[in-house]
Amino acid sequence: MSEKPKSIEFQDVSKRFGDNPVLKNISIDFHQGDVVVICGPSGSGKSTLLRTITRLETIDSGRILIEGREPGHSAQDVNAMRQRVGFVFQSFNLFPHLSVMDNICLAPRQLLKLSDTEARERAMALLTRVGLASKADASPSQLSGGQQQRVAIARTLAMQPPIILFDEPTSALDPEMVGEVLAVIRQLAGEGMTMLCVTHEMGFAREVADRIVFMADGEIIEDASPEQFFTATRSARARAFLAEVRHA
Amino acid sequence: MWEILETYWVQLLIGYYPDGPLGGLAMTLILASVGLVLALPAGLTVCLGLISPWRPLARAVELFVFYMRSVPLIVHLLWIYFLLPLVIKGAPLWLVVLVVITLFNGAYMSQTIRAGIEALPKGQYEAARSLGLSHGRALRHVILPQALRNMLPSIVSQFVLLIKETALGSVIGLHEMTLEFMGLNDTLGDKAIPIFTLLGIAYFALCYPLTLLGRYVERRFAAPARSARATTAEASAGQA
Repeated sequence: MSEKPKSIEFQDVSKRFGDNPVLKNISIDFHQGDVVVICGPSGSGKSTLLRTITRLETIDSGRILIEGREPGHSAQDVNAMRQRVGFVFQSFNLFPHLSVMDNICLAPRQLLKLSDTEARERAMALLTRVGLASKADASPSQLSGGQQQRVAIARTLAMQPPIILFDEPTSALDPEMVGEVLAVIRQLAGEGMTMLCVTHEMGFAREVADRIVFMADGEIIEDASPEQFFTATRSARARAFLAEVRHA
Repeated sequence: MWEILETYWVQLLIGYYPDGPLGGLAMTLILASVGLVLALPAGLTVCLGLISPWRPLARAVELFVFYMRSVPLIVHLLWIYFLLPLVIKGAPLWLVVLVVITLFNGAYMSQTIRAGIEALPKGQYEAARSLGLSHGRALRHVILPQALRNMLPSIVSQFVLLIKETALGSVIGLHEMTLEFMGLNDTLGDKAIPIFTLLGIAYFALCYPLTLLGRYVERRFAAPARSARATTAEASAGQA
């Protein structure tokens, strides 16, 4: 694992919301091509950890390096960084006033200056990959939750980011739709992108992740291979969490 | 009432034009339509200032809006009436009124648009920014189209207010419709009731269709599923 270049590095990162510390001196490296599942009880700071990477949340101290360097603070630097670090939200956040096709084409057209035809071709290829080619002209409101999340993933992929972050991508879905979204993510996992995924889907974690990070109270409690994590869980917190998730 | 209309309709319609300045209903219509055209861009501009990530600008614009909203329209009018000729030599009265109603309605409309923006889920802006879009592009392509659409009924009712506000031009001697009717009242002496009834009917005829439009827009946009489909249909028709 350590031969691969570092994709994201947290160096002593802390953040608090008011009096409440949500990240406590986090230091951890994620390597290129790693598929990492981040789990933990709610309020453990895992979503915040993900959101600090693309600066959807600010940090109070420490540094976060992306591809070996700390992105600058100018608007251009932040926008350029965000083009390389895709983000998939729990609530999909498709743009309801645009068709599925235009949702996907917006950023490539605006930022990569793709022509209309190029952007549409790229979008069509991605829609085919997530199994929704027939929905290109639909409005997001006509899609099920699972379909919306698959479009959201396609929209993120359209910028071809080397890093992609998933923030509880299946938590807002009806149970019968979780599978189709996980299938898309599973397929992406083999393609060499660095993927960080906050999720409670432990079966998926076991099968897909190279590495599992368990957080509680703003700290990283465990950082292990799935094999180790599920068979030789060391901390009491993680054991309690696993017992709870399994019974859910 | 009919005799008054039959005798004076030209004056009520266009003032003393072409021998004197244009006035009457024509002036009111010009003020209202140019005001309508300018108010929305003004409101947008002020709103962009209000939500600017650059704090000093946002604060300054906030102060401007607060001032505009805290002072009676007629005071703004008097102030600009004396100020504008210092800036633009020989500024005509209609320009004074236009500047005032544009700034005033711009300030109010900026609040409406901001409310529309704030009513959108935070995730919309975050998703746009996460794709790498700048603040400006996120506003233009994602936030404003939705916010303006949701706020359309409020914007239309603001337009109705704007039309009525042009009547204040009479205070500084602009011969728009109200002053024309007041002049006629002075000329005829004993016909106040029919004259001002006519004036009321004239404003009603201008504003009521807009009020109806506002109601229609509200109903149409209250059904999001249907309008979403309509938009998709328009979009695909546009691409074909």
